[in-house]
Amino acid sequence: MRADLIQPRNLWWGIRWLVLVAVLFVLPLSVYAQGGGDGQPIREVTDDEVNDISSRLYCPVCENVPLDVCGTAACARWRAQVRTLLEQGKSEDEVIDYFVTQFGQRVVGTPQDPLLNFLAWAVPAGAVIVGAGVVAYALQRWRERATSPALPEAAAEPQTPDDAYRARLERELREEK
Amino acid sequence: MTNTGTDVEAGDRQGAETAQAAPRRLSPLAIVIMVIVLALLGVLGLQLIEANRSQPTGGPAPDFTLQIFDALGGGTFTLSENRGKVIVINFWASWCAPCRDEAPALQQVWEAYRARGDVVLLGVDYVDNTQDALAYIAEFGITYPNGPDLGTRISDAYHIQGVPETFVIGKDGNVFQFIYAGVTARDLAAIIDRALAQ
Amino acid sequence: MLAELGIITSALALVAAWYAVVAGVVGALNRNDRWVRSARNAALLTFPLLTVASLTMVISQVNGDFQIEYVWATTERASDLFFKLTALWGGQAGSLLFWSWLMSLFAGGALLFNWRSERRLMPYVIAFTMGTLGFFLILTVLIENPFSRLWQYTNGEVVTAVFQPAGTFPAIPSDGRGLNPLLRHPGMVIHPPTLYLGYVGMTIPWAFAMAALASGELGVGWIRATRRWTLIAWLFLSLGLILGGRWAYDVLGWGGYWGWDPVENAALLPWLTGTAFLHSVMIQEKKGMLKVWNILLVIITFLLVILGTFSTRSGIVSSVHSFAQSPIGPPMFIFLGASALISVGLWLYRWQRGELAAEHHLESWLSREALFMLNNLLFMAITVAVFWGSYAPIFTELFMGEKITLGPPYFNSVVGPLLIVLYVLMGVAPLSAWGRTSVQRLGRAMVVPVVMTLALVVVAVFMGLREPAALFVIALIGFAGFVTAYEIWRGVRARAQRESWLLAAWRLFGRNRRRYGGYIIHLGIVVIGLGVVGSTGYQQETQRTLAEGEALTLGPYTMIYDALSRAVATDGRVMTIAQVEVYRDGHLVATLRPRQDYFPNAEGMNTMTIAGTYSTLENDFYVLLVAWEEISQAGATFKVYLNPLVNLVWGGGLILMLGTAVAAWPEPDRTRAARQVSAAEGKALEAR
Repeated sequence: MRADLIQPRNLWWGIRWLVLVAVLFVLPLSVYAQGGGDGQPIREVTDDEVNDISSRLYCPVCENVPLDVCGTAACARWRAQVRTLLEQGKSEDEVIDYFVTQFGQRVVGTPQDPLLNFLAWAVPAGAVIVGAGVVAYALQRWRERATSPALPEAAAEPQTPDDAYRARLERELREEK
Repeated sequence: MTNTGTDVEAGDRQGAETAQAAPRRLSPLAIVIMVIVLALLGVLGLQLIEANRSQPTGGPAPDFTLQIFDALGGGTFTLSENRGKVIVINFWASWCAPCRDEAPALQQVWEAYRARGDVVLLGVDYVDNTQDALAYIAEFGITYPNGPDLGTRISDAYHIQGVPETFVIGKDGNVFQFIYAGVTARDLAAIIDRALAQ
Repeated sequence: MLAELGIITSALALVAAWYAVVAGVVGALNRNDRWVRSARNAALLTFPLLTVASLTMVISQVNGDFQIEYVWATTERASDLFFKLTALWGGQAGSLLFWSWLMSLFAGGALLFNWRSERRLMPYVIAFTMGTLGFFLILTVLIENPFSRLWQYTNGEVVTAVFQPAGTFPAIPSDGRGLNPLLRHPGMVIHPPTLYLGYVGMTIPWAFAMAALASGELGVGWIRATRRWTLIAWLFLSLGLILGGRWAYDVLGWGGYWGWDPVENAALLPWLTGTAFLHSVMIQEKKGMLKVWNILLVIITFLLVILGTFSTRSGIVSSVHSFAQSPIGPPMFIFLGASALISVGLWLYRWQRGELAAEHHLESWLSREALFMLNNLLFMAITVAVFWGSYAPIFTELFMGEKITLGPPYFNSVVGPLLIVLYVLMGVAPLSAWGRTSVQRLGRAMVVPVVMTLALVVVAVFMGLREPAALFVIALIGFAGFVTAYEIWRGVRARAQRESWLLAAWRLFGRNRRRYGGYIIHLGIVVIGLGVVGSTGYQQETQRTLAEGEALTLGPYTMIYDALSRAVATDGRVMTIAQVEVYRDGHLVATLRPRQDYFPNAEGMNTMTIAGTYSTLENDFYVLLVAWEEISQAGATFKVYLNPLVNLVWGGGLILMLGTAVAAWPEPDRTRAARQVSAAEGKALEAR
C-alpha cells in the first residue's frame, strides 16, 4: 500500500461522485472533439507508466530530446498531459496518436505516416542491397579471372619467426597423435 | 623515375603501364557517383538556406486554416478567405511567461476594434495542451478566436523562433508588419490603424 | 594589448597558410624546389604563430580580461582555474582557433616526419593541409574572431568589434557570464579536444591521398606514411566518442550514454569509415588490391569530418548539441562543396585514366581479402544507415514539408543486426589466411573457439539468462572474443617453447605490434559489445515519490530516502542534495547523494541533474533526483535505473586504448631500416 497516496485518495472518492453526476448532465456540451481535454480520470497511473510512454515521445520544442528525460517546465506539462490521458483510460496508441495530431510527426521516434515510414527504412535497406550486389559482382569477377602466376608480393610477406614456430609446433603436435 | 623497389609497387607500375593506352572515357559508374555527390551537396545547401530563413516581414502571408476552440465558437478560420480585412496573428502558449504579460493588451485591442468588422485578431496556440490553453483563455477573459497549431504547420510556415510573436496582415493579404516578442496595446493599435489606412 | 597580439599572429598565420598553398602548387607544377621549400617554411611557421595566438587567449581567460567578448562568454571570476584554462574550446570562436592550432601542429609534424621519405608528395601535402588550415583560419580571423572586443559609445550603446570603432572607448564588464553549466564537468572538458584531435588527425591521411592523386605517385607510399597517423586519429575519435558517452551518462541524467542524436552521429560517421579504412589498407599493402576504394574511403572519411563540423555549427540539423545558428554556415558549406568536388574529381580523373588499376584476383571466397571486403561492406552499410537516420529529417522537411524524428528504436533495429554480423566477421576473419583458404581449414581453426562459446552459453543459461535472442547475441560476441583470445594464446604458447611465458608474450607483442595490438583492440570491442547488450537490452527503471524514510526496490537493490539538504558551491551554484541509502540482501552497500544544481546567473539551461551511482561490474544502480517538495510530507521524487554491465563499456574503452598504444608504438629494427633507405633516396633527390 502506498502511504503517500492514501490521503488524497479519500478526497478523490468524495469528489468523484459529485463530478460524475455533474458530467452526466453536461456530457452533450463536452469538448471531446478537442481531443481528450475534458474526460474524467478513471484509473490510477504510476510514474513508470507515464515514463514508459514519454520515452517513446519527443519534446515538440527542444530538439531531439525524449519527453521522459526533458527537464523544461513545458515538458513537465506535456508529461502531465500524458498522465491525464492515461487516467482517462486511453491506450498507449491513443496517447501517441493524440500527440502526433497535436504536434506533428516529429514527436515520435519512427514516423507513423506510412510513406515516411517506408522511406525511413527503404533507403538504408536499398543501399545495403545495392552495395552487397556491387561487392558480390566484383568478387565474382576477380574469382573468375584466370589465376595469374602468383604475384611476387605473395611471397614478399616474410613469415615472422613466430609464425614459423607456430606452424612447426602445430605440425609436430599433429604428428604426435 | 627511381623505383622504390617493393614488389607491390612493381605490380602497380605494370598495371598503370598497361592501362595508360586506354582512352579517357567516363564510365557510367563515375557519372552516377558525380551525380550523387552533387545531389547531396544540393540538398545540404537547400537546407542551409531553409534553416536560416526567418520570419516573413513582407510579401504574401502564408495561408493556413485554423480550427477554433469550441469554447470560443468553434468552426475554422482560413486566411485566404478573409482577404480585405486586417488580420493580426498572435502566436502564444500557456507555458510562455511573456505571453501572459501581453494577453490583457491583446484582449483590450480586440474589444476596441471588434465592432468594425474588418479587423480580425487571431490567436494561434503553439505546442500546447488543450486543457492548459483553455485555462489560459479563461484566466485572461479572451474572447477573440484562438485555435491549436496542429502539427505545428502554421508556426513552421511563419518560421517563428519562439513565442510570443505577432504578425499583422494587411488588407491585400501581404505581411504588413512582424513584431518580435511582446507588444503593448498602444503600439498594436497604431500598427492596425496604419494597416487600415493603406 | 594581448588581444592585439592574438589578432596579429592569427592573421599572419592566415597569410602564411594561403601563401604556402600557392607556393606549394607553383613549386609542384614547375618542379621548382625553391618554391616548395618556401611553402614548407610558411607552413611550419603557422604553428608558432597560432601557438602564440592561442596562448594569448588562454592567458586572457585566466586573467579575466572581460573586454574580450569570448572571455566574457566563457569564464567568470568565480570559475575554477581548471575551467579557465580549458575555456579556450568553451565556445564557437575559440574552438575554431583551437582547431586551427591543432591543424598547424599536425601538418607541421606530418611535413617534418615525411619530408625526406615522401619527397615527391610533399608539395601537394603542403597545399592540401594548408588549404584546410587556411579555410579554418578564414573562419577564425575574418568571420568569428575570438579576439573581438566590447566597445562603448558615449551614448551608452555597446558594440562588438575586432578593432576599435571611431568614437568609442573600451567597455569592460565587471564579471563574465561563465561557461555553460552543462560543460563544467571534467569529461566535457576533455571530450572536445579528443574529438578535434581525431578530426584533425584524419585530415593528414586525406592530404597524403590527395597528394598521391595530384602528383601521380599512386603506390603505397602515401599509406605507409600515414598509417600511424590514421591509427592515432582513430584512437582519439574512439576516445572522444566514449568520453562523450561517459559525460552524458554522468551529467545529462537520462541513464544512458548514447542517444543517436545527429551531432553524436556526426562524430560516429567518420569513425565508421575510418575503421573500414584501417582494415582495407591492409589488403592494399598485402595484395595490392582496392587502390581505388582506399583512396575513396579516406576521402569519404575527411568529407564526413567536415560535414559533421558543418552540421553541428550551422543549424541544419535539430540537435540538443548544436551551437546556435551562426554566420559560419555558408562558408563551411562552400568549403565542404569545394573539398568534395576537388577530391572526388581528382579521384575520378585518376581512376578513369586507369592509373589506379591493379591485378585483382581472388583465390577463395573465404580468404582474408574477401572477408575484409565484407567488413568494409558492413561498415559502409552502417554508415549509410546512420547517415540516413541523421539527415533524413532534412530530406523530408525539404521535399515533403513534414519534419520527422528518427530515434533510438530506428537506429537500434537497423544498425543492431549489422553490428552482430560484424562481430561474427571479427571472429572468423583472423582465422582465415591471405589467398587460398578452404572451408575445412577454416572449420578446423574454429573448433576450439566454438567449444568455448558453447561453454559460455551454458554458463549464461545457468546464471539465469533464458531468452534465446539474448543468448544468441552473447554467443556471437563471445565467439569473436574467444577467437581473439585463442589466437593470442597460440602465439604466446609457440614462443613459450624457448622462454618464459611473460617474456614470450612481451616479445611476441613487440615483434608483431600491429597484429597483436589489433587483437587487443578487438578484445576491447568485444567487451564494449557485451556492455552495450547488457545496458541497452536489460535496463530497468522506475520512478516514485518517496517520503523521508520510505523505500523503493529495483532489481536486487532497495533504496531508502534519508533527507534533503542544501549547499552553495564555490562557483555560485545552489545544490539541492538528497541522501539515500542503498541496500542489497539486507546489507548497506552505498550512501548516494544525487543532486540538482541550479545556476542563478546562467542563460538558457540553468539546472543540472547529477546522478548518484553505485557501480559494480555487474551493474550500475543509478539514482536521479527529479523533483522535491519543501514540505517534508510530500517527499522527493526519484528516478532510478538499473544498468547491467554498463561498466564493461568504459572498461572496454580502456582495453581499446591499450591495444591502440601497442599497435601504434614505433617499430624498431627492420622497418626503421626500410625507412632509412627511402629517406636516403629522398636526400639523393634533393641533392639533384
